[in-house]
Amino acid sequence: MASEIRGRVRSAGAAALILAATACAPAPSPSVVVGPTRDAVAPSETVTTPRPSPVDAGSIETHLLDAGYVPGSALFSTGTQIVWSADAPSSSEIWRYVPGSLQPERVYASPRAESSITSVVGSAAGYAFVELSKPSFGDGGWRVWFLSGPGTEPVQLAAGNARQAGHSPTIAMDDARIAWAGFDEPPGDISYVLDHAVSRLATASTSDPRSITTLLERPVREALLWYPCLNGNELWYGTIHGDLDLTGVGDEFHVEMLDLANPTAPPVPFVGSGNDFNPAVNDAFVVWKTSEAGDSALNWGTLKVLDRRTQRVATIPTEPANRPSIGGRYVAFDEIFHARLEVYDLDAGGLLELAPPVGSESNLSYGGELVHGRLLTFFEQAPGGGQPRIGWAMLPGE
Amino acid sequence: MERRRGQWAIATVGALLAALLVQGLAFAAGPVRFANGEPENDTQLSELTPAEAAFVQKKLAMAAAAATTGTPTIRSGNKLAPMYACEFDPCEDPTPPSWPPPGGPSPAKTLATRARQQNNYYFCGPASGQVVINWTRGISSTSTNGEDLSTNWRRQSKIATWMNTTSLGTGGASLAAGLNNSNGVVKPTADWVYTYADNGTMQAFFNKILTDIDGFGMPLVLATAPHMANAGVDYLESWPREYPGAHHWIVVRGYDGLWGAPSILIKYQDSSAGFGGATGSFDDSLSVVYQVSKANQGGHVVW
Repeated sequence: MASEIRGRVRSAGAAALILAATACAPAPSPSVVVGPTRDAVAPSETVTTPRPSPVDAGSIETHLLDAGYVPGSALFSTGTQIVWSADAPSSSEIWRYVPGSLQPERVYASPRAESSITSVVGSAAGYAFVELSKPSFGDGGWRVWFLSGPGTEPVQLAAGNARQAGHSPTIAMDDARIAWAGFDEPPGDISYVLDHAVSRLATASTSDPRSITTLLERPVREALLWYPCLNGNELWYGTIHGDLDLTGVGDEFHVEMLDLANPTAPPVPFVGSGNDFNPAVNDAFVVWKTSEAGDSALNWGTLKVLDRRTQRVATIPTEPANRPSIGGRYVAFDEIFHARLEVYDLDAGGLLELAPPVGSESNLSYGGELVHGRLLTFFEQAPGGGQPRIGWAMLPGE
Repeated sequence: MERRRGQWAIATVGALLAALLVQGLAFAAGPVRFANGEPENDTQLSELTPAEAAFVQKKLAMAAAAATTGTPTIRSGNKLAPMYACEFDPCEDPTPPSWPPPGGPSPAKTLATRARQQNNYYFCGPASGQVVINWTRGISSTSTNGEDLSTNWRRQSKIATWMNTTSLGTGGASLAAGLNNSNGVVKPTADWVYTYADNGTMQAFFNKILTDIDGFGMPLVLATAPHMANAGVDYLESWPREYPGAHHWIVVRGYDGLWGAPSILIKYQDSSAGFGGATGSFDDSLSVVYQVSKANQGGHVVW
């Protein structure tokens, strides 16, 4: 038995969806598409769609994969399958589980020594992942690969070195494209490296993965690009202007968008709320993390939601959170205490708690929450440093 | 949500390459690698004089007393600690407060320490010590450069000599001794001493944090394994990627919530931009901070 069903089915009464079921993925064009900046958008339109009833959290089954499938740090939902990195001592393999199937299966095992797969994403077109291997790629060397399916040979999309940066690329994928943001440093003495290292944002077509488009290449003194998010022809990402000279003024960071249908157009800054990072976007909503001035871009923050139809901004009423993702109706995120398994219902405008808080019943921890379409995946972990287990739930919707 | 506002201080995750600027020390250290600032098997705790042992016993008693809200004060004749819910400036009131006050310890307190960038992969101990020393010396510059004497009490490389730091890192007892150097921290009380100790249980660990932060206005330095393989939720937010072999010192500077509360935040500063982590101010749950320390050779703290 590959998975274990938790919770009870009480009803199948899902409220009607308003949104197309996408999360940084191809989606039908909405009737109203607004620009990414508040300044640029047309005046708010009155939306008369009635707010749907909140979903009964008890109606949602949560499932756990067998405890033998211990995940590494990379966990992803494609909307139809769960994908993760695994193996010890480093995460050199990619595994997947399709809800409804008997067992997870291994998708890829790297032949390289000391391989570490730091990120993996997927879509109907296949998988993309970031791999480190000091023996094969050198100290700090990284590769971005595309894998069309289990048993196939990966195609190298990009290579670079982030020896000094210490952070491997961040990636995104939909059916049509793979996007990545990575640092690349040349060899040389210190001043040369700092003056010549770049932060690069690029895409590849899933139908022709050897066709690479470098969209942005900025000196690291100017910008550090992170967390790409694809939504049709929109490529959203976070950018940091770092205080590289250690002056103490701190970092400035915000969210930008590129129009992939018009690749010569300059990036459009997202006005947001200041100190914004971690965009998660579909046609109807923009979700992001915002921080108070002086906070680190990587630290926990407050999650905001912009309804692109009405231009209304809401705050997700949870503890400090990070790494939001967006599905058709729900936003998933890590919350700082890892005490609750909860998602934000974009239609009902409230939290939906799928598991009780620590101390009430189970004292379990939850993390790595990520939703795509209707498929939510997460880690569940017993207290005291137990090994994480992979969980999933099919959220209500069409 | 409200309680964290105004408490998160400087952040320099963007200083990914900042170490390169620190007078070439990153380069001079040899091949760049992830921060690894504590030797293996660093379980030799501080050797204490009788006076130091007595002080530790006093702190342990204070920590135990803090576990019970409304207990009588341990020391008398001093002013009560204000119920700080925001950043605390030691220069406002140099007199050590009586603690815990009758109303119990502050529900939240964060010391306005300023993060520093470690010079090389094994200097997280000196960088953490520099943050602590600067704090007690009233240095409030937000520049993260650890080698600029105009913005630091002592250069990070100087503090490293006090701590006997080598390319293997900094041992906990040596780190404590470096803080206790006559040119190190300004002691909040005449008998104050930093010691390297076991964390104990999660509650004992939290009580140490509470005692030092709220009782003395002093940060702690914590040994961690910041992001082990298969860590699940138990990794530092400043270390988003797995580094199974890393041993890393961080500065614990605050807390939000008291023992028994449904959730407690721990506030810390990291120094490791360019060496696998990030430099700046971060928060994580008490549970996570405790686990990443426990995963590092059983869990030890300089307090």
